[in-house]
Amino acid sequence: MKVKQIFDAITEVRDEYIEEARTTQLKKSAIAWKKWTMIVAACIVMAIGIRGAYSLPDLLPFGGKAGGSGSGHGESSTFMSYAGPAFPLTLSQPDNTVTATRNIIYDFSLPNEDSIRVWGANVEDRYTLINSSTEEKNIEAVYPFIGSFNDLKELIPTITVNGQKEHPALYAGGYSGGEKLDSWEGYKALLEDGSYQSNAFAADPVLSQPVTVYAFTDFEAPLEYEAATQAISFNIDPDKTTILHYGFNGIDIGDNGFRRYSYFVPKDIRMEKDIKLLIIIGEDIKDYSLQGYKNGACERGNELEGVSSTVTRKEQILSDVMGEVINHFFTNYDDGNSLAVSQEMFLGAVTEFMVHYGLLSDNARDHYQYGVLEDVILETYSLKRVFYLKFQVSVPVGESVLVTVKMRKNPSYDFICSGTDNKGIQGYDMVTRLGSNLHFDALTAELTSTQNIEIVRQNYGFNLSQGVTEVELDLNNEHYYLEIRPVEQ
Amino acid sequence: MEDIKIIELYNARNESAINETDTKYGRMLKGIAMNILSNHWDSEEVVNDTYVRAWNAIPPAKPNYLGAYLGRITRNLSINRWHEQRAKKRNSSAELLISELSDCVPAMQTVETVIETKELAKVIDCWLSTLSTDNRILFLRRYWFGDTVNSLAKECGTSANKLAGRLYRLRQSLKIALEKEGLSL
Repeated sequence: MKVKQIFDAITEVRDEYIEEARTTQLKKSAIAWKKWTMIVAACIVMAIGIRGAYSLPDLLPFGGKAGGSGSGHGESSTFMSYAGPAFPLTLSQPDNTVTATRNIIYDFSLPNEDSIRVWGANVEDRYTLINSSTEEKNIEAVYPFIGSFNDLKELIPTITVNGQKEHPALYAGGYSGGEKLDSWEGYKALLEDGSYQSNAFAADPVLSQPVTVYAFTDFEAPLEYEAATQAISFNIDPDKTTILHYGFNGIDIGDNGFRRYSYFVPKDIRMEKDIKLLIIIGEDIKDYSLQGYKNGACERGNELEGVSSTVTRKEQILSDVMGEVINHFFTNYDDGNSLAVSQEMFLGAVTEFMVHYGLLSDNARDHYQYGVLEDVILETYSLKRVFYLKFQVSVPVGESVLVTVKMRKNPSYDFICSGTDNKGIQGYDMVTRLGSNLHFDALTAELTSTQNIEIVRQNYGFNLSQGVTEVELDLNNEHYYLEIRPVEQ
Repeated sequence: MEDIKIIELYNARNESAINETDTKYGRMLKGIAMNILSNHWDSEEVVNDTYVRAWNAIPPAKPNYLGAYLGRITRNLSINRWHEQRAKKRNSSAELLISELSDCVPAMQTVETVIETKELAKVIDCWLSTLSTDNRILFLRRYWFGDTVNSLAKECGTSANKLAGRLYRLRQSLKIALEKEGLSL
């Protein structure tokens, strides 16, 4: 088949062209239509040249860290994609006169009538709080759960107290700081000293430093050059000046403080949404030069006349600029409806990330050292973390209150055909004490809709063939695991 | 993680190489497979087969561009699977891509030289080098990565019809280039 030969031959074209197509965004011919795919592409396309070395920043990780496959730890598996355990309820302040019983139910119903297999479980985590003191207790309860800003809408639990829906306050824990969250022990290491939770409730750092902002607008370039590029070049003293940027497509970092930032000149857009900012922290830049190029190759012989823009210099507070950038990011790259939390909360998380792992830290990690704000925002958005829901509960003297937490729990799993024995197996972990100061008197677990699953490994004591779907658990056991294989319907 | 570090993990036979590969390239590879096979489960299996192939091939293989290297494996596996499906009369997006590329088949009246696929790839390589960067990217995004016309049109901020016209002109250009080489496939 002749045409098939062309189809096959295209597969074999040179790597450089494939890489170019993979990492470069097509030029726009009209006002931007932008989605996540594009901002990811924009992050990929950021070219960074350092003394002749040419590298591309990493794609950002989505979801949780993946562990080694199938080898197991204890009796349970170590999954390549680890969803993390269900945590126990805790109190913001320990109270010996309040005790609890816990009953956790995993419901393996099919997502809808057309589904052929389960993926994930609906979890109902019930707590009966008992007041054994001689006075009414008004306590502040805290429920931790794992998620990211990206999947918060799907995973955020709903909480009822005696059947009345609560409206708990949401707090975001910080980035794990490289702590490997690929097993329950990883979460144990992160949470057991209590500092992670304390930090989540503490006020976020504020980016109060004054900065100088160079904004680029009113772009013009000869229309016949589809990839016309404008570059701004200058020298800095890296010990005195730190640069963050937003909306740029290329960076060159040279010897002796040389810096060049470049962007493809937007077409048909003037005072436009496509903002481009250089944010200077510390000593301002001096004697910058602007130069147009025919395309993204900012090199001698490739210069282009007629490329221009208006450069506006402003002095602002960094947190204000970051607020504008975050607002722009979500308005333009995700239809403005993707952030499930207040912008203030997300700015706090971005700030925490920048202060601890970005250019504002003493030890910037990975490609964050290049100051690409799109990377920082997207990473903050997608990184897995522990969130906390805080709500008030009143427990009358000698009485009890039922707190019910309902949530969607995605499974841990191995990638199909990854060479492990865990193909198709879904893991669900639960921890009994980690992070909790509550005293539990009893702990039970229950499975429902079990016709859709078979149990592969567990330490609960369920026995589906004998109809044992409710079990009492040992409070001294820190960790319970359940690994199931879906039964196709 | 940088490609060089991922390859070091493969060389060290560290299984996290696959995790890091999936983190960085999983989405792209799934897209390539989906664009040929139009089936979630088949695509997922192809992507995971890609990881197994990479695991078995590196070392000794030392890809200069890990993304292109993995993408090529995924594309080949997807095309092979598409052939199997075609035998079973299952439709996929690849049918459409093949149908469009039939525009590129040289006319029969040219002086004919039978050519191997590898050599044909070099000719296509050469033709690609004559294109503007944006046209080259557009052609490969459509016929290598299999991106849909609609998605490419959205990315370019133009209509699907206009983009289809641009792709047609590119296919005609390739056809002329092949005819100039006096090729018969």
